[in-house]
Amino acid sequence: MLVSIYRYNPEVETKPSMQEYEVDLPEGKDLMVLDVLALVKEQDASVAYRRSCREGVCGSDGMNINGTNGLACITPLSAVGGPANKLVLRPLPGLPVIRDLVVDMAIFYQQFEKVQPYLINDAPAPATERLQTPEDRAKLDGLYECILCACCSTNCPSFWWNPDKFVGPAGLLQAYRFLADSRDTATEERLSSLDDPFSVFRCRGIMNCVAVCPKGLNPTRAIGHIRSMLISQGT
Amino acid sequence: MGSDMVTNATNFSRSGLSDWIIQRFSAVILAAYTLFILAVLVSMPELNYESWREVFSKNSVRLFSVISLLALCGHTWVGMWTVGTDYLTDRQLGGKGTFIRLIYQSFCVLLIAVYLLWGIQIFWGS
Amino acid sequence: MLLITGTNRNNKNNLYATVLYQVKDTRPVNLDLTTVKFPLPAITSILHRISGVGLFLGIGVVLYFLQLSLESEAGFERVLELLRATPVKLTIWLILAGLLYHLIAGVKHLLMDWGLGESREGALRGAQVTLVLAIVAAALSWGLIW
Repeated sequence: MLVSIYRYNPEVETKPSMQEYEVDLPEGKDLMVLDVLALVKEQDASVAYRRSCREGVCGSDGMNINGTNGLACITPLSAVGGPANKLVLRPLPGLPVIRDLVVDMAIFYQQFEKVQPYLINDAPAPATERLQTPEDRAKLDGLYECILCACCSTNCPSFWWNPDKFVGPAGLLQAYRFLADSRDTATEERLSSLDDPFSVFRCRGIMNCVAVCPKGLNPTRAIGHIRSMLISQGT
Repeated sequence: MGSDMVTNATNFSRSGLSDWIIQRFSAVILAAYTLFILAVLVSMPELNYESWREVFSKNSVRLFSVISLLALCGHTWVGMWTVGTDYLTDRQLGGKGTFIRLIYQSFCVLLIAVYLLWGIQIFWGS
Repeated sequence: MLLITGTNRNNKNNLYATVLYQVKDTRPVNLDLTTVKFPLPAITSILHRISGVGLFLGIGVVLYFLQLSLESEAGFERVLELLRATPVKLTIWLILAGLLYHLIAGVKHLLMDWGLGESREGALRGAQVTLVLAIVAAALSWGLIW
């Protein structure tokens, strides 16, 4: 199989380039993209990429695989679109490249930080947990599972054009996760910090985020809920 | 930062929610007007000057036309502002982005003003 | 883009900050759009935007024809005469098809605001329906003009 990889080493080159490798795949096995990368690394140890848990939990190996963002460790070759027998690996779009497939996620984390992704509750902490009904707890399903791999935000044109102003799908999913939490008391403050033309409203609903989320989450729906809350809160 | 100030200064409403509501509200009016005009065009097989003029000389149609014109102004401004702040920025175009966007936004405001005055003249002037 | 912002450029005591302030981020960004695969809903969205910008300019043409047609009997005849020329027909068709596309994609947007078609499959279905309706509308307006 032909594997084409985005290469950039700031110590050697000023511009990135694509480098091609011919990889022999074992017969009768549907390898994950991360396995193929390991085979490439055997040929050329200088290829840099992030990976850790290799089972879609840590969110380290998000990358652009044949034009679609995904986690290399849980994307089997059989599920990769595009031309057969060719694999094109590029770093997540829109973020500065540190080296090869490793991107600087600082701006992505800044947007995450902006939504205050933690429980805010003014009431004094009770002796036991802050309790929640099973119904209220169920409202957090489909929100809390995000692993911050950035596949969604870096697949979103609105985030490409304004990564410093538009919170992006990953950040907004978490914003809603705390807006929806019955134990959180900062709803009003959270909402008023989102009512500018960029933070939430730059979403055009193209749903590129939903199309690539490796955990099957739906940031577009969360953004819709935030908008509804902003509307009912009034301007 | 300078570009943020320009972004804020040229966003008349300063609220994403009100922009969003303007966009949706005006869209519904414009959709209704478009369908109305199309219905007029299709339902009049013998379209001539007299009948065409008669449609637009009714006060109800005049009012509908001017309201739609106002909706058009709001709708195009929010839309064009959004397009400009996506592509015509320092981030996309380097240091000149803010300047280019100001020129672009001036052009948009000018054209919207022309459409508004021209449209009022067409619908109400004659 | 600056690597470090917010440090005081004139602070002579803080040379380190001054130097960092002037370091620009020269790292590459992978954003070659020809290498990114866009799902159908993204295509319908960019067409919505392109048709919107096109219509913004097209309104001028529409207002011109409207004014001429309402001005006088002669003006009305002139419009009919102009509409016989192929380039004019093509322009009007482009405007009408663009308008109908923008309208259909806009209705889809409003439906999504109501929470319809917000699933992954729903988005794809919505985009497919939008495109089919838009093609039908474009064909019908072709028939209306010719």
